[in-house]
Amino acid sequence: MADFLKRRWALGLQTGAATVIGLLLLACGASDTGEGGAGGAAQSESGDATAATDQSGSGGTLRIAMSAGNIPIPDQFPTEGGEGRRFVGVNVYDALVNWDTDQGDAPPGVVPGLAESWSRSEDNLTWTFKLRQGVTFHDGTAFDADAVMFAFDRLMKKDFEFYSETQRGSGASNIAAIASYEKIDAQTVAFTTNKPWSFFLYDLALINIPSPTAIRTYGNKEYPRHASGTGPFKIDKYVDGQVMELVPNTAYWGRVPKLERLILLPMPEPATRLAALQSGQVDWAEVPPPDAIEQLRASGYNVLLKSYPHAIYYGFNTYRAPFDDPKVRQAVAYGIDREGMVAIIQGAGGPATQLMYEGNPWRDPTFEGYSYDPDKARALLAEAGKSSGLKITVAYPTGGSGNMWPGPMNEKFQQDMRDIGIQVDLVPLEWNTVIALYRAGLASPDYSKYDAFYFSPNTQAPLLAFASYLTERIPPAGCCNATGWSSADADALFKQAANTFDDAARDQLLAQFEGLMMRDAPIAPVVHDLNLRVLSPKVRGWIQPQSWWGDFTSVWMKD
Amino acid sequence: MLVMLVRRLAMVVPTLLGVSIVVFLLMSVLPGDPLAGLLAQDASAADRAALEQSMGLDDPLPVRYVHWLGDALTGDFGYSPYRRRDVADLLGTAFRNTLQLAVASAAVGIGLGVALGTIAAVHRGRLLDRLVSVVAMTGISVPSYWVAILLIIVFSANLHWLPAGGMSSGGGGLLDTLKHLVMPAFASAFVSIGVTARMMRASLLETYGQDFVDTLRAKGLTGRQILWHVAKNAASPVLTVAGLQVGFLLGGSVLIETIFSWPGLGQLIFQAISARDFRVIQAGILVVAVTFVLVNLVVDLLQLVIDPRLRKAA
Repeated sequence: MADFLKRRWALGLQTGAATVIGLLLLACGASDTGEGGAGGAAQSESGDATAATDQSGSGGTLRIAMSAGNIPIPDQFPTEGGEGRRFVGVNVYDALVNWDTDQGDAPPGVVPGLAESWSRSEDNLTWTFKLRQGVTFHDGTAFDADAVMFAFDRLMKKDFEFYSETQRGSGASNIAAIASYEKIDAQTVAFTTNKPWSFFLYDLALINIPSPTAIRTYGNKEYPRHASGTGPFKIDKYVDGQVMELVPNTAYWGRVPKLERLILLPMPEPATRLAALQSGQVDWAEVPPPDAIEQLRASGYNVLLKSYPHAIYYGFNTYRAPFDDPKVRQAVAYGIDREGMVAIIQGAGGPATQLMYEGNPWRDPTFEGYSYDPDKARALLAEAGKSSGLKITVAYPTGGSGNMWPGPMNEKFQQDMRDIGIQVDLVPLEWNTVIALYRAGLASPDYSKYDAFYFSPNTQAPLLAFASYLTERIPPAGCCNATGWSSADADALFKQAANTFDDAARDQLLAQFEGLMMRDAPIAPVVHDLNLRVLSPKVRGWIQPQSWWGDFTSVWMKD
Repeated sequence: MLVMLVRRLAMVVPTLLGVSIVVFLLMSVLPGDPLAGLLAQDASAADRAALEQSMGLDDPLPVRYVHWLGDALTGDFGYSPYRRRDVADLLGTAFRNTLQLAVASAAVGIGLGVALGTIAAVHRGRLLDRLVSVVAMTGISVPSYWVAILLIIVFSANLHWLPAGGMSSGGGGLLDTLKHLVMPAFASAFVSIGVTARMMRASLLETYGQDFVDTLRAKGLTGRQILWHVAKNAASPVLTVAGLQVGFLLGGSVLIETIFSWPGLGQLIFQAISARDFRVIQAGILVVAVTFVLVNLVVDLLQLVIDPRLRKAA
């Protein structure tokens, strides 16, 4: 579901404008110091710790300025990437299993959603789900096994009347492991996977179940105008490009939302989101310009920062020199001044020494990761015979909240590399082109000229996190191991993890995978995005999760 | 006059055809992936191929163009898989939104421009003239996005008078829309004010220098009466410039619409380009081109109406 696309309409001009306004606002406003997150475990900060746990009231209207350029289209897989799922997907829909995002202490796992329990066959191939009874869609029709069949037919059965090629494309990786599915009875469904696949629940948690009646009535094309799920909120008003208003689904099977109304507004320009928050037009702004963080803290806003599975990295072209040599890759990884990078973005990210952040179960605790060590970097370059004269070409996207602030960050990278004797030629590309590069890989004729590229994937689920390092995923046969890195040991570890059904043991194998991959460094991690958002002090009950999405049912507005 | 109208309208056809071919070719050489926003992060090559086929992207470029042109001629601009809406519907909504903004901007920009230009011409060489010159130069020189940001800082972030962006904050109603309209309208009008004021001033002064003004003075007409005659004679170039401004405004301003989250034509086309949503881009550019041509046609006709010399020439 293209979660990594997030909001990327914001191109260079927006970043430029954001920087400008950030500076201006700093000039206009007071500045104070605030405490950033500490290392050790996941980084986190909430300006007012009591706001998250305050459950003393209810009601109110919450208005959110999204960084999306449009209202997420509320189809089975909402558009607008991570924000689409965050604000529309998890609110309007349920999946068979949901994410437990009502806590921020650990990366969310999956919990019962529309399925209240499940079991696995002895060969670990067939999963049987007992469905929740008495659940109704927002259009009043009943949820049952037929609705589950309908949802999967829409994605997988090409001759089905309501089969949707776009929805299949969005959910492609989540259904790839499914060999077959069937209705056992009105409250029971079974899925058979094409190989032992312990990640299956992560796949299912991303597949929303829409109302079959609504789709039959309006057809695939018109359905988004009449979208109907079983989620905690239902759509009350939807004007494409302008506004979406959600109201509580009072018949919700879980916790009925405390809010009276949730209003979503698209504001792709960071400066506009910031001003909208400061003027009281909205109560919640996604990723305002980082230059304004200190001022916002000083003004009493809740500046929320927390580690979640989203790292920025440089992916290396391992097909050819100089990055076919692991020593050169490691040299770059040791040569990046991550703390300096973090300072540039005002602490909106944390230093990334591995792909996974500290506190994430898939981080390898036996590998210390890449800290800033220019001497070691120079020594590694010397060992590789590249002490001087090394020139590389690096592609980076020109903007987008999910990419953080690539312009200044890449200039810092360029400077760091100069310090260890590497000359970097930076090539700004539109985000769409960087995705094309990621899909086609660095061996493709269009992109083989680049030695490395800057990227920021979602790593919330095992496949999202690690598929890019599997041999079978090297383009064009697979997607999207863009660097072309290949390791039989890593492939075997991943297969073993997929075949391990004890969560702790599986996570340990994934951590080993991470360690093995990181030591050989097909990528150099740079920063962990800390999911910057700023809330008015009136917003209560929001728990910042270690996740791309969250739980809005406990949120309410204080007068 | 009718002959001229027909001739001008006939010229629109090759213009639009040319525009559509250029846009199509540009889209094909632009790096990027039209499926990037539709496919999962790790979708397989087979999924990609299937989606490509379903969108008709696997056909050769000329075939795609001919298909598109054939449909477009019947008024069918196709369906946008990104926006899950018919392109015609999308463009209709976006054009209406841009129209609101353009009308407001034109009223402010051209209205103020004409007024300031007239004041400057009447007070030629005096303080007021110099002040207007400064304002006009500022309007022309300062980028509109800068003005937009300043307006947001002052009127939204600091004074809390106006919403920072969007067409609505959930309230709805005329007042809500007007509140959202004020800043983008002023920001995009800024250039028009400058350009129109300068043109108005120059044109008025040139006309003041003509012999017929001496005759009017000799006949004992008051300053205001003379101004009326002069203004009518000076209107033609101002009208041309104003027409161009309206054309630009109706094309939608990417910068202003993005900064103010105004869901107009500029923002729609910009987002479509980012997503490589070729149907929206093609149709959107055509709408902009048609609008521009038609606005210019209207300006030419208006000039014929107000200027008998041009009527004779036509």
